[in-house]
Amino acid sequence: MSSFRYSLWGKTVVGIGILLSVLLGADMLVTYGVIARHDSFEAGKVWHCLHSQDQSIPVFGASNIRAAFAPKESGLELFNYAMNGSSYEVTDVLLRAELHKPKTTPVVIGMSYHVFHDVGDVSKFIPVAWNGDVREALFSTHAMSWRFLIPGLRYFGYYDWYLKDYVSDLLQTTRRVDRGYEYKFNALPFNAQQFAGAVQKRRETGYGYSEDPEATKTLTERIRSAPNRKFILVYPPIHESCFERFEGWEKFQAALQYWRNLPNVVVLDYSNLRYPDMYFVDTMHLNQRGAAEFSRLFGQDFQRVTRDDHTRVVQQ
Amino acid sequence: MQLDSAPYFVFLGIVWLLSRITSGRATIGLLLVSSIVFYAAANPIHGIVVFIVLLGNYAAARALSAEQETGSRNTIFALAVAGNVGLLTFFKLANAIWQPNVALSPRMSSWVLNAGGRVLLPLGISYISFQMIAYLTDLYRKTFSAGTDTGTFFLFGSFFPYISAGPIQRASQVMPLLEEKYRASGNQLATAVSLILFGLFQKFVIANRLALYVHQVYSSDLPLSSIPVALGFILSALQLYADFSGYTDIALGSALLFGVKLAGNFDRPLLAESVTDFWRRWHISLSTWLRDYLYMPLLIRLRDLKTSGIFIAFIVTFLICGAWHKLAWTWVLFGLLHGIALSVEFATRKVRRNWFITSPSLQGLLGRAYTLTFWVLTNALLPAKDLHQAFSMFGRLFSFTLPHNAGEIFAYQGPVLFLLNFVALAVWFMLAKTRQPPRVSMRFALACSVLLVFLGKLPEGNFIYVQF
Repeated sequence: MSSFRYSLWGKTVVGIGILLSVLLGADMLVTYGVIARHDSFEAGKVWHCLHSQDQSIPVFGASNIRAAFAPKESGLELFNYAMNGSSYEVTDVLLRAELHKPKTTPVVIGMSYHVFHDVGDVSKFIPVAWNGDVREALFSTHAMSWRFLIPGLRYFGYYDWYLKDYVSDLLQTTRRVDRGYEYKFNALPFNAQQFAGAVQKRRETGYGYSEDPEATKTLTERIRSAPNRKFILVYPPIHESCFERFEGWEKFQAALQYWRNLPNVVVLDYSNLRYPDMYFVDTMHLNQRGAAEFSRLFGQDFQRVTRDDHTRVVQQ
Repeated sequence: MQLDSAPYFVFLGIVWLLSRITSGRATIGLLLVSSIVFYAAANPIHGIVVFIVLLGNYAAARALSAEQETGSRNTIFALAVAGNVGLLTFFKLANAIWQPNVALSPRMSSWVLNAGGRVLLPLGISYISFQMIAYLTDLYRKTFSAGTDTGTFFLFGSFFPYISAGPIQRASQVMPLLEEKYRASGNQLATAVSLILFGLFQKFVIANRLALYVHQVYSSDLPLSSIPVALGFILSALQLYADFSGYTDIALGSALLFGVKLAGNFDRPLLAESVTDFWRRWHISLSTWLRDYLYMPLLIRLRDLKTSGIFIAFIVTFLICGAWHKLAWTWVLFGLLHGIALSVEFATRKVRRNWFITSPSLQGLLGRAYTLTFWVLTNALLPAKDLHQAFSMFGRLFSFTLPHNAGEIFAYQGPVLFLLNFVALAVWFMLAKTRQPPRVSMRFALACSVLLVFLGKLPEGNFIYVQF
């Protein structure tokens, strides 16, 4: 026994044992001590959406939705699950999880004007990579890695990322997150000159609507599979410069009409809402001031459309 | 297959296991086939190019060994060296021209692109060419005699642990090892594993982590003030060191798994007391190669010029050294500055010795400060896209402006990630200190593994030196 203990092989076995214990212990600590208990950052949001049974009204979408929906200002029990750089693949994962829950609350889905396929920062999905829908989304966007399935190894390269978010959440010196919406304490003041540059760039590049038939088909299936839920599809406000050279206007109108015709769907089209420059960070994203204003408006519209079930369309 | 990737370690494990059940010629065959597989995984077409290069050098070596007549030997040697240099120059030029952002001339670049030209640098072609030139020169000088074993020659030219980016090996040191049994002792295996783990630690924990800060500083559109730029310069130099040292340790460890002890590349370069001393400690396999096969022959040719000949030899050697790394003005300037520094140090060596005759420790201290500052400042040229960006960075550094907010010092990474850079650096220096010479310690290996998993960052790209 002692010769084994002090031999190279013995030491190696003990070393590997210690290493595995440390790795698995840290994995569990991060998963259950940090991610599962903090829904202020993306990984926590995904975990919350997949595991929580609360009765909040979920809001799904990409960064423009993340920036626009402030639950407190809306006066609603919203939870903003929208995340940066997330295409419909991410919304679909969260939506599927939401629709499996025994809930009857409406579901708010932020719609994209153009097609892209990206799950954004992949670290949000690693803790739940064993989930079949998550794996499917990661594979379809080429973001899957074999090690995401191995406890102890899966967070390699992301520990500091979670630590950063955890410390930020703990100290709350630079930001505070309320039900998925981030209030930054030291947000830069509106810079008219910088914004004018962004507007000029937008005028040059133009904007537009592009179709994603696959996403349309999938979302239609999801909506039809949950007749007990009301789906509120929101096209968020964007800066007026986006409409100066807007390509695919007819397709956009046709898409609005398509969604309006579905049962249990309400479309809230805020695309032609003209907000002043100072409500925007750039031409696509509202700042905190804009989000507060928009969320109040959305709260009122939400009350109206959910009170009157016959209302299918709200035109601003 | 990069040396820090999971497929490489699966490959290495399989080759190592097979090597334990084979012996003699079968092991040479196994390692040769493995090297071919390793190369083919990178680019099969380039594998053919490298095979032709090795075949040509093998033929030249046989001819050189068989020929006794001086005139014929001169011709064979000149042709063989010209072939190696010509091929390397062709690939380097084509590669530089093809990449418009680093090219010496954008006009040439667009000309080649319009002509449909598209040439990539075959993996490790520089290192293979250098090894072959050294091999032929040693044969020509008769300081080494070619063995008769074809397999050993091809293995020497293509052994997978060092083919990507060196260290550049000398035939006289490696070939005898390659002819021995390929079975590592228990101690060698433990050292090999320690080296590989420490190499991975340096790559993932230090180099990849610092790369994020450096990338922010060099790519930021925001007008950064002097402090983040200075930090970016320092961290960029340490990033390069960690990246290359990490690669080297993985290469040395991989070879040692088969009982082949290769010559390393570093000898604590941060402790260098002069730029001359720095080049004795930094990329040793290249600096000794340059000394033996470029600087010394040049010096002999220029001996009539006396001191001026030494200066010219220094500057030409380092200009070539810079241009060899990358055909870009930033690298050429880097080489020129180092050549000048070595010349100045040579010219002032007696004066300096007299100044510090009573306080050599002060000389050491000042020497280290000067060398580190010079290294950091000249290294700052390298991550820049071009000279314009490099000079703009120096402009920011010497504007002596204060940061507008704390976020600027962190290069907008946030305080946690910023502080982790320094935690990682402190751990690196601590581990490196305990590792001289490489320690066979379970605690060391365990520490590297744990830190690797918790502090490691995923690679943004390949090892820096693989592109050269």
